[in-house]
Amino acid sequence: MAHLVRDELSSYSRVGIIAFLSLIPVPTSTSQPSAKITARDIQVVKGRPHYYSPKREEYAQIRFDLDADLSPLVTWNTKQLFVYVTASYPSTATRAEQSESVIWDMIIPATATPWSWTNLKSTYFPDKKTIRANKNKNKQGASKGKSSTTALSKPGRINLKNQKPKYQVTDPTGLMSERSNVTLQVSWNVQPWVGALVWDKGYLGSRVGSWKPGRVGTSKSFDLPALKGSKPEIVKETDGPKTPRAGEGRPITEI
Amino acid sequence: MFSDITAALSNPRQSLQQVLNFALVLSTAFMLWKSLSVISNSPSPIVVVLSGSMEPAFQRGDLLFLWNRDVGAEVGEIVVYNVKGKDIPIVHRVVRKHVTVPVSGVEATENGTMSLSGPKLLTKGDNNVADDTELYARSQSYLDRNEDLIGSVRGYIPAVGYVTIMLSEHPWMKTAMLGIMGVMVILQREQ
Repeated sequence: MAHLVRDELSSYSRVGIIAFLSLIPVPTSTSQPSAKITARDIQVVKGRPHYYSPKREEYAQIRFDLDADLSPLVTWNTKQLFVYVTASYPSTATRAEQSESVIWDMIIPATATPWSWTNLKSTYFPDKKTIRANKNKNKQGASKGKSSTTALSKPGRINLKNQKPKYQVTDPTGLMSERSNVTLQVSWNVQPWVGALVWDKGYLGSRVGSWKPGRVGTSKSFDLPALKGSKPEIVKETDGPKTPRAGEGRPITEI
Repeated sequence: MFSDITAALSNPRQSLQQVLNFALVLSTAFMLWKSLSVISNSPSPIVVVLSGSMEPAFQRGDLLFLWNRDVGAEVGEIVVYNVKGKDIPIVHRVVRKHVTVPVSGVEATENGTMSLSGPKLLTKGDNNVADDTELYARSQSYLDRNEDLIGSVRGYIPAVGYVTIMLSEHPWMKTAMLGIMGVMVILQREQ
């Protein structure tokens, strides 16, 4: 009886040890990733969160240049890299807390290696879908896909010029124009095949306390311009969200 | 004849031990779950992914380990939250964080103590086109770190949780598995 109990406990502790080991991230390679970002063309426009919404708020659209080499992050245990650009700005003029929103993101999937799961599967259990996909891939390679990740010469290399943001920045107050001290920041999240998730700001061990600011990829701070096509006295009202006057502002912006 | 009596006497003891043994297995599993819950400060420290909204990072059936001891939540972090009035946890990435200032700077909670209101968060699934505003409760357009979140994803094991999905989708499998487990525990003593 006693040894039976011991066997069960040890099998549980074995599972526990495996689970614990899985949380320890794979040591990163010696060369560090690099990223450089600069804000380009900045606009603040008025719009609605969605077509049927009666609410009207201000949106900042920030175009940017990004030059990053994240290839050191792609290791054998990298399922994908989630790269994202955030804009952060002080919530109010007096408080130090930063509001932050993602303006652009990108998923860099792991490169196919001869021993990666999808390749093993297609080698040993080929189905019609993958055969078709392979054919398409060949066609794409011949015609040179523009911005697809497969066209990147090396996984993790990003070079964008005057990139349009995917998401616009807005605030619960609805006011974005003439905010100062805005910065752009490149961040990434390494999704493993198995184990701990790693961010550029650290992983489990260093995350128990506070989240440190990113080491690389912060732009110079800049100011948002006044609302496009409006008179200066309107944008100077900063005492909370207001119902705009009829006829003011522009048509709905795309989201 | 004497041996017959001892056999009859020892049998109930044996079967009682088998029942205890089975109970031990179940309670150990329960204790492990609860201690993980205490360590991570999350009501459910391990969740199974149920939808494909975070693909390709997480597929259906993947196992996620949660951590809930951080005061804040950062943009880019993958969090698990419960929508008010719904019981299904959702795993999505934080795409916006706003530190809002209530009129007085602090808010009174129900029991009268004052607390800083948590940051407002907006989430989005990597595989979804739009953010989660539509998923939230009717009057809600942001999540509150302290109220809605049950953890942040830190560890990942693929596909293991698919068993749970199978079990909950086909209830007869649950009964069958419990039955098999019980039979195995009883048969184990026979050797």
